[in-house]
Amino acid sequence: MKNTPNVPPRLVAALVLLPCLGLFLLMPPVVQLFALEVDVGGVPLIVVYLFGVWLGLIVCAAWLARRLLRSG
Amino acid sequence: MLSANFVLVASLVYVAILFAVAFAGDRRARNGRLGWLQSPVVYTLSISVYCTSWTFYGAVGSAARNSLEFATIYIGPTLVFVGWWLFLRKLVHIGRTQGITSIADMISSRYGKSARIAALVTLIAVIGTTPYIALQLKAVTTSYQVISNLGPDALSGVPRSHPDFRTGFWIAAGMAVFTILFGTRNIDAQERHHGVVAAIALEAVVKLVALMAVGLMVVFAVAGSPAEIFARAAPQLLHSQDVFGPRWITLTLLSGAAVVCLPREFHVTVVENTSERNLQTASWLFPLYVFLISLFVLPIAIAGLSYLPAGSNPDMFVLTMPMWAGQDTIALLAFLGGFSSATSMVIVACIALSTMVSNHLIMPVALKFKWVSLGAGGEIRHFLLTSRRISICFILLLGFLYFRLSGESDALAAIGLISFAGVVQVLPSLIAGLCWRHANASGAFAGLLAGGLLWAYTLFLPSFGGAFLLSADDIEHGLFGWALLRPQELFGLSGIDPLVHSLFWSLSANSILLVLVSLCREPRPLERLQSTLFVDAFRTPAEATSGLIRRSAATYDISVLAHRMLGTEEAQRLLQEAGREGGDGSSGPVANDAFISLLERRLAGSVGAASAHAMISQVITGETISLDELIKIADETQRIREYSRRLEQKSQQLEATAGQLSAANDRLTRLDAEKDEFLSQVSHEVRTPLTSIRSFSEILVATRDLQSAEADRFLRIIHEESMRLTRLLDSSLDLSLLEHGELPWELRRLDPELALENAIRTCEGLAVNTRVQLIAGERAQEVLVQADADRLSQVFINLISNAIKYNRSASPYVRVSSRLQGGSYEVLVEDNGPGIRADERELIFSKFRRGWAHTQTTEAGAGLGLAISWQIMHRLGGSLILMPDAGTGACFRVALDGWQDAATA
Repeated sequence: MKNTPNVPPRLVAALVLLPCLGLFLLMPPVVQLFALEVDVGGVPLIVVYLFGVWLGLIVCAAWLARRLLRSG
Repeated sequence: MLSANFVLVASLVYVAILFAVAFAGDRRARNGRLGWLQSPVVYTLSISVYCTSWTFYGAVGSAARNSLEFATIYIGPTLVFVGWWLFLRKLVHIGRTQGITSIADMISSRYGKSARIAALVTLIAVIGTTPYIALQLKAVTTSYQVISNLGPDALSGVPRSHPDFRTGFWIAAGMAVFTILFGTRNIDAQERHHGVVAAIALEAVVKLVALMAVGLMVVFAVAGSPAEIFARAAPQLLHSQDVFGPRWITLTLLSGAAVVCLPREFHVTVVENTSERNLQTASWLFPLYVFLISLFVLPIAIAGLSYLPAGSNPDMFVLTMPMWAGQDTIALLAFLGGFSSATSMVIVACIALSTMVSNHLIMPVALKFKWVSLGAGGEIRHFLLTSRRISICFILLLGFLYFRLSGESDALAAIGLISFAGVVQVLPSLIAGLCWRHANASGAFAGLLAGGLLWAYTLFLPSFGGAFLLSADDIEHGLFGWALLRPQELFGLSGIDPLVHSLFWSLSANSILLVLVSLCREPRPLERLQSTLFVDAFRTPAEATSGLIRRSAATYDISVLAHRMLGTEEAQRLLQEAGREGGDGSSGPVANDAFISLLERRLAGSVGAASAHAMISQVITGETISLDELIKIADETQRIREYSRRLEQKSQQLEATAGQLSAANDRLTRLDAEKDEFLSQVSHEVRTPLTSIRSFSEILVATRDLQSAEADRFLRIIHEESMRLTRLLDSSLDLSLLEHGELPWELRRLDPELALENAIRTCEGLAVNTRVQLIAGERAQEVLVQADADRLSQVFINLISNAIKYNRSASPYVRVSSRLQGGSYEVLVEDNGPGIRADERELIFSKFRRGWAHTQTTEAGAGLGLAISWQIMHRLGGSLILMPDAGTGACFRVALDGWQDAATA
C-alpha cells in the first residue's frame, strides 16, 4: 500500500477485510439467520451470536494491532 | 433510601475529585511530564465520551422498547474502529500534520481554507449538539430527583415534581466553570487539553464500573443467573426478526459515521491525539469498552420490565433497579456513573463547539469589522480566550434554554439519533475531501447546505411536534399545504421510518450536489494545494508544498502579528527557524515565504486554517501559488509509483542478465581451461613420438657403422612413431572439423545393424589377441535410420575397442546389444572392466580424457576417440551417453532418433 513499506501486504489485507467481515456478519440477511427461538444455556441464540461476533472482532483487531506493532 | 443532601454531598465530592484530577493533569502537562497522559489507555478512555447519559440511561430504555436495536449504536463505532486502517488512520494523520483544531477546521482546510464552509459546519454542529447537551442536563436533573426522592413512586423513574430547572441550571453553571477553567486556560498551538482528558478518562472508568455493577447485581443478585434473566423476557422482545430491517442497517451506519463526525468525538479522537500509535490500541480497546457497556443493557432492561411496577420509565431502570433492590451503594454509584457520562459529554462538546464558534463564527466577523487589530496594541490572544469563554457560556445557556422549553415534553428522548443525523451531514464532504482530488469548496458548500436544510426540514423541526417554526399542520399536510412537501413523506416517499427517510433525502442530496457542483467548476489554486495535501497525506509532506506559495509582506507587519499571537520569545524563535530554513544564511529576522508559512501553520493551530489565512492575508501583499509546481507535486505521486515499478522491473532484468553473464563467464573459464589443457595434452602427445623419432634419427646420423638389422629396427620405430603422429594429427583435425561442422555430411537411409556388424567384425581380432570374450546380445531387426555408415561404424569401433582394450577383468567380456526403445534405436556396449570413476564420469567425453587412466594401461591412444564419437553422434542427431553406474564395468549407449521399420520403408 501507498505508505506502508514495512507492513506486510497480507497484514494490510487483513486490516482492510476485518471490518468488511464484521459488516457482513452483523447485517441482514446473515444476522437474521440467528434470530431463532433457540437458547444456548438459557441465553437466546441471537444474543449469543451478536455478542460472540462482536467479541471475535475485538480479539481479531487486538491480534492484528499486535502484529502491526511487531512489524514496526 | 438516600437523602437528597447525601447525594448532593457525594456529587460535590466527586466533582472536587474531578477538578483535582484535571488540575493535576494540567500541571503535569505543563511541566512536560506527560507520561500516562499520553498513554493509549487514557486516549481510549477519552474516546469513550461517545457513551453519554443517552447510553448510560438511554440504552436500557431503548432495549426495553426495541430489544436488540440499541446494539447498533455501538456496533457501528466498533466497525469503524476495527477498520481504523481504512479511514481513521488517514484522518488522524492529517489532523496531526495539519494542526487541525476541529471538524469544521478539517473540512474548511481541505476546501481551500474556506471561511464560509467552516461557518456552515459550525452552525450545523451547534444546532445538532445543543439539544444533545439539553438531553444531558435533563438526564442529570431527573436522575438527581429520582435518587433523592423518597416514596414508592420514585421507583417509576418519573420525578414527582416537574423537572427541577433550578438544579439543572446549577449543573449547567458548574459545567461551564469546569470547562472554562480547564478548557480555555491558554491558546495552545495544538489545541490539546491534558487536564480535561485526564478527568474524562476517570469519568469513563466510573461510568463503566457503575453500569457493570448494576448489571452484575441484576443478573447474579436479583435473578441468580443469566438464564433466569432471559427466562423472564417477553418472547416478542427477543425472538423477532423485525429488528433486523432497514432501520438496523441505517442505525449501524449512522452511528459508525457519527463516531467520526460528532464534534466531541472528532475532538478527542483527532485533535487530542498525541501519537498515531495510540489509535492502534484504541482500534480494539474502544470496541471492547462499548462491548462491556452493552453487555448488561439487555439484562437490566428485562429485569426492569419484569420487577418494577408497570409503567415505570425504562430510561431510569439503571437507577431504579438498585433502588428497588435496596442497594443504596450501587444506586449512588449508578447515579455518579450517569452524572459522569453526562458531564464528560457536555465538557468535551463545549470545548469542541466553543473552539469552532470562536474560530469560525466570531473571529471572521471580528477580523472583517476590525474589532481586533492585528497591529501593535491588538490583543488577539486575549480576544480569542474571551470569545471562547463566552462561547462556552452561550452554548451551555442555549442547552439549558432548550431543556427549559422542551423539558416537560418527551421530545428529548429521540434527540440522540436526530443529533447524529445532523452531524453526519459533514460525512460526504469529509470522505470526498480525503479520497477525491476533485472535490472542491463549491461542491462541499452546496452539499452541506442542502443536507443540513433537508435534515432540519425532515427530522429536526418535526421533532418539536409543531412547536417551533413548522406548525403541526405543516407537518401533517406539508408546507403551504402541498402534500409533496410533507416533512416525513417528502416527495411522496412514504411507509418508511422517519429517521431512515430523513437520512435518505439529506445524504442523497448532500452527496449528489457535492459531486455535481465539484465537477462543474475548476478548483482555485489554494483548493488544489489543500486537496493535494489531504488526499495524498501519506505521500506529500507538508514542507514540500510550503515553497509553492509566494507571498510578500512588510517585515514589520508580519513580525508584529507574530509577536501579538505567539508572544515575543516564540516569535523570535520562529523567525530564526525560518531564517535557517530559508537558507539565506542571515541570522537577522526576515519575513520570507518560509516564515509566513510557518507562522500561518502556527496560527492555524489555534484559530483554525480559515481564520489564520484571513489574518495573514491582511498583512501580506499579493499571494501567488505556483500552479505548475503544484501539478508537479500532484503528479509526483504517480511518477514515483511509476518510477519504482520500472526500477523493480529493471532490477529484475539486471538480475537475470547478471545470472546469464555469470553462467557465460563460467563456461568461458571452463573452455579456456579446456583449451589450455588441450594444448598441453597435444604438446605432450606430440612430444613423445617426436622425442623417440629425434633420438633414433640422431643415433642413425651419429653412428655410421650401425648394423643393418639394428638400423632397420630403428627406422621402423621412426616410421611407426611418425604414423602415430600422423594418426594423432588426423584425429585432432577430424575432431576440429567435427566441432566446427565444416564439411556437410551426406546422410542416407541405412541399416545401422550392418554398421554394427562391421564394427564387431573389425574388433574381433583385437578381442582374440587380448582374450576378451565378445558376447553378442539380442539385436534389433529390420531398422532403417538416417546416418553416415562410415561414421557410425567409427563410433561403434571406438566404443567396442575401448571396452576391449581397457578391460582388466579376470574373465573379461564385452557385450554388444541393440534394441528399439521408444522412438529411438539404441546400441549398448557393456563390459565388466574397472568402470569409470565417479569423478571422471562428467568429463569422459572431453578431449584427451581416458576414462580408464587410473587403470595404468600401456595401450597407446590419443584420448580423442570418445570426444570424436560424441561429436559424431551429436552431428548425426543422436546421442552418446554413459549409462549410470550399475556396479561393474561401464555401459555406453548410442541412440539415434527417428528409425523406420525396414519392412514398411
